[in-house]
Amino acid sequence: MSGTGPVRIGMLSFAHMHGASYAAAVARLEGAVLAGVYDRDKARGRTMAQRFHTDFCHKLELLLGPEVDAVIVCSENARHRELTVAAAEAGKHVLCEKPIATTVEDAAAMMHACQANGVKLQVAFPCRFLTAVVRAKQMVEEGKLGRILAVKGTNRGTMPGGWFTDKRLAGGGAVMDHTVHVADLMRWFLGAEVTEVYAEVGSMIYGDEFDDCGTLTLTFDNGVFATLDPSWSRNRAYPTWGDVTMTISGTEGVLCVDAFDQKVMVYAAEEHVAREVSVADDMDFFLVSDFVECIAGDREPTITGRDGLEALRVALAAYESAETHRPVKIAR
Amino acid sequence: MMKAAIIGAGVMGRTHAASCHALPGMQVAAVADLRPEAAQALAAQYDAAACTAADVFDDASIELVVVATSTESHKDIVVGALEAGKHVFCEKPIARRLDEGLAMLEAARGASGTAMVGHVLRFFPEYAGIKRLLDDGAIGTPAVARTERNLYAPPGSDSWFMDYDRSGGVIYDLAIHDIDFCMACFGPVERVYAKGLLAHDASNDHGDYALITLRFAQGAIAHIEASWLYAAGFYMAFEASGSAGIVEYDSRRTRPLVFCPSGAEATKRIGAELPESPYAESAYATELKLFVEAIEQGGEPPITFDYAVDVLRVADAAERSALTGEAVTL
Repeated sequence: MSGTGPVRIGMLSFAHMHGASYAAAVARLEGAVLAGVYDRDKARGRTMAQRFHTDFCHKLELLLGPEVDAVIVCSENARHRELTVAAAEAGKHVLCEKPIATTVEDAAAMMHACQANGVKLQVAFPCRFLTAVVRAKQMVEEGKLGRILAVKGTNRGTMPGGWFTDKRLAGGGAVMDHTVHVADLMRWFLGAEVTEVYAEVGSMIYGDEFDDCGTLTLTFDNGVFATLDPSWSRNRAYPTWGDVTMTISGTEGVLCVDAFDQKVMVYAAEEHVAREVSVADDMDFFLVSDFVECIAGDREPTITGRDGLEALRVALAAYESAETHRPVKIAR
Repeated sequence: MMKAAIIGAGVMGRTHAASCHALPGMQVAAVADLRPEAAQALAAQYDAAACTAADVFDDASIELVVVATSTESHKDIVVGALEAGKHVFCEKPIARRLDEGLAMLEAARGASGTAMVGHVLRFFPEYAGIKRLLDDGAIGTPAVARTERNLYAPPGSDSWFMDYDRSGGVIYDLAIHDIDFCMACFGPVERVYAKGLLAHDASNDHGDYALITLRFAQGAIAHIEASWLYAAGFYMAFEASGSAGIVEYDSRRTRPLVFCPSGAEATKRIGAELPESPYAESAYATELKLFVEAIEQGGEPPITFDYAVDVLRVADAAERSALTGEAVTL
């Protein structure tokens, strides 16, 4: 990178809507600048480049030149590998949108490429930066809950449409999209790995083209059990798009985390709906800020490729369990 | 005048005695309990006789028996009452073990009396409202449901509930409500997977807790949380999402009446809230009223022993799944 100057960040695709939020965070950060946009969808890429006052590169190689230190990959899930490996081989650090990839092989290849080229790979699990989650983690570490016995989690959301429902590009439906965030939080809180997954998965809300609902049960190597609901079960009439919750039951107390429950209600007469407007801290800004600090300070990423891989394994095991109707052991 | 006997003078026995007493044409004539003083105290309220269960079976004038004893004792008392020709209202769950439930079902099939199990949840106006909405297609095809039934039952209390062999813990005591209600809404269960602490005795350092996943034959998935670890006051919640909508109920967010004590009470625990959701007729009164109507009209009661055994099969499957780590197909 360029000595002590700001970290110059290129955006690789805006296929995932979080890209806009991450780009806005880069633009706000003192220690970083947007160095350009590459996107297979040229119209989208040009629009976003214009919106963030940066250049659009019509070829990936152009954005991976010497003027860029790091990239943020927000392509379709199945394209994370090609963009991440290309960036790593060009010596760029990578912040990759979740899930890290759609297969274990792809995730391993990405991790290998980053390691071999001496660049950092951080996986975008912004929920680790939700202020309520950070506070909850602190309470767990302080021992306020005693010994943790069980965790009940949800990451419900609204069906995003587009490529998210195309298995070839997304790797699955709701279970692929919404398992990894809270599976990651659970691993992080428990300091334990998932050894077994049982899942019931269904396609009942939006027809039978893709999985839209499910319930996962996870068993951790420390004996704790957990469930996780990754359903796209919030519709457009629901006051908010989704949630991140964990009910953590311990020997000394139960901690209920409803991380997005910092809101103001709005009742819009025209639209005939009640709407929640978030007044929470900006987790995406904290995530990008952490990524920039880890590059500037040359330290290990807070959330590693392995974190991304372990969360992905849970989603993949869930799909396998849903087929076999049996708990699936995770082999490492 | 129909004479009723209450067997078991605990919290539910007292509740059912009050409901019986309030029904026109019904008289609480006898109260039995293994603790004579408990039987006497409740009997005195209704000018009834304090006696034993055997006395109730022998008394030909008693037509209706309410069984509100500890779960593991249901079978012998219910079978005794049915064999004595009584109508029997049995508190939920029907039994602690499936074989006991099946024996009770057999007794009910051969009996002259009518038999019902008090799965009361569907008679709560909130749950009756949910059921009505689902039946009316408010959510379209049901896809995924979540229920919660959480309270605090500290380990070390000498209540029989804390004796896993007697009560079955949270699966048989709490989750059974939501298993029943989900079956009422979504039909028969095909597959069960569960994890639980299965807390056995007071020597552990925590209470019981279970997370259960049900897959219904019709396709819906339900997730049931039942906790004795939650010390912020009892609450229950239900939500279901489907192809056309979402229904959502949480007793913590529907509080038409909240008493916030001050003065001497507040010095004990500042910030204490005592919420209530009063209705003109309680769900416990409704279920007994419907039972008596079924007896009088010679029809089927709203919750038969056949159905209650099906609910018990699901609880039994959840317990086996939690013990073996395998999914159980019914």
